[in-house]
Amino acid sequence: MSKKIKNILIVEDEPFLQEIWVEQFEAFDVSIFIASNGDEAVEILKENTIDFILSDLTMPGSNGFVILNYLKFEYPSKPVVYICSGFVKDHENLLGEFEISKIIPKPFDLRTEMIGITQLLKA
Amino acid sequence: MGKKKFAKLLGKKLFDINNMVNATPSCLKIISKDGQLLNMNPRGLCLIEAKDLKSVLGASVYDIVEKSHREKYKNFNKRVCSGQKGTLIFEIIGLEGTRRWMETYAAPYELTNGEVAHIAITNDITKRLQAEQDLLKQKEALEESSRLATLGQFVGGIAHEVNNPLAIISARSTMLRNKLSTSEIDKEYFEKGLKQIEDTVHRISKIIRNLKTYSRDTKDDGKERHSVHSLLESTLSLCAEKLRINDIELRLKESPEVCLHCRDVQISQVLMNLLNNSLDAIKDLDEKWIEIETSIHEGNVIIRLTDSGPGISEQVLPNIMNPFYTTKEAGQGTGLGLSISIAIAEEHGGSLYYNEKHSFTQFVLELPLYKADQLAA
Repeated sequence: MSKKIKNILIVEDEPFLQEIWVEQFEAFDVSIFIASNGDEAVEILKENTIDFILSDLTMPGSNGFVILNYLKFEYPSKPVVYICSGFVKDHENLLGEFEISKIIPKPFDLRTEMIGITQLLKA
Repeated sequence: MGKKKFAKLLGKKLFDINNMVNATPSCLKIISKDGQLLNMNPRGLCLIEAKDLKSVLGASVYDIVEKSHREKYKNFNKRVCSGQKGTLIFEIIGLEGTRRWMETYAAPYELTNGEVAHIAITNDITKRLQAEQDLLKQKEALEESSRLATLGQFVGGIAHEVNNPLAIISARSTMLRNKLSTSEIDKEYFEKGLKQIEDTVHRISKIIRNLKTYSRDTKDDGKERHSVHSLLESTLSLCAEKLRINDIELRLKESPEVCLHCRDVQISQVLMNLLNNSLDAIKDLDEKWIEIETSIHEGNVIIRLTDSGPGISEQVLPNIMNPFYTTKEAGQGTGLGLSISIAIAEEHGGSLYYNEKHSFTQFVLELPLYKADQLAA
């Protein structure tokens, strides 16, 4: 990874999970943006240069594919994208169409996942 | 047939009454007012498993009537011997121990000594009753499998609904454990984290509880008082995630707090089936919503379930309530949902119908209010 990660976007409709992710990323020297669905995330992407996105897939209102589509067709820079969802299996064929660095299935082992994420953020 | 030939037959004796009685494929018998067997044809002897008439003549027929039916049978015999006709269904245990269900048609019969006895034709209806029971069991099994099939349509959503809280519990536990390794324990942080875990466990328990309620065997359940609110809430808790995944907006209109006298699982089955039909019908539309509205009208609770679909076409409409009719792809529907739902609604003294007048697709479930509440209202 050449670029240093400064801005992180967490997209998650579950408040407790939002909280958990925020707490994890606070330990790093990064700015954290939070969205609860696809549309909110796109609004943030329009205003900011995001380097790393960690997003749920199924959310009320607008889902993770809204973000993936926006990134693919309209977002100039290419952030690192992690998808965290309990429904990865249902969307496997669709996910292949997008540039996704990692898929984290729910429920996940936080310790294991944070090893990878730490490496990414400290690179 | 020529009259001539008939006249010829009349003149000859082709049968005698004894042969006729002996050949009758039903039990024919005469019983005294005290229950003594006075006469019985061979078919009857065969049914009670007697060697011959001699061995049972004068014996009390009450002895072979199954205990729990005996009193009823004695009273029946008394009524007949006092001059009334009647029919009765009862169970006997034959002299060799075979149980049989019998249906008897009895009338008073005056004996030569002037006493009134009981004459009857009695048939073995064990097989018929068995067939009726089998049919009932099949109906129950069909209803059960239809309910579970409907539930199956929502199971994916339920699994997802559990994955999220599991992720919270797992991640939060890891975080608390990590904190343990630091020298100073922040009590407040632990309190908050543990509460989050507890709350989340309760969330899962609630889903599992509703799932268990819905999937349990209900055939022996009696009707009880259930609030419409709780029925809707528990049903929706199982369906909500599937609707959410499909981006379907659920509009739950404010409903009056009323109760039904019902089998909760069955009413839940009707609601879930309607929701499932709506979901299948609208999931590929641009506009996706389902609205549930409850009201009270003339002692009935009216639950209207409307979805953003354009209504049901004229070709399909006449068939929708027929069993096994489905417009869904193979493996997607049993075609039993609506017919079973209607049977459930009617069995509860209510109705389920499609509202053709509505511009969207609307089904209406009407059920009588809980009686005590009806009086208070």
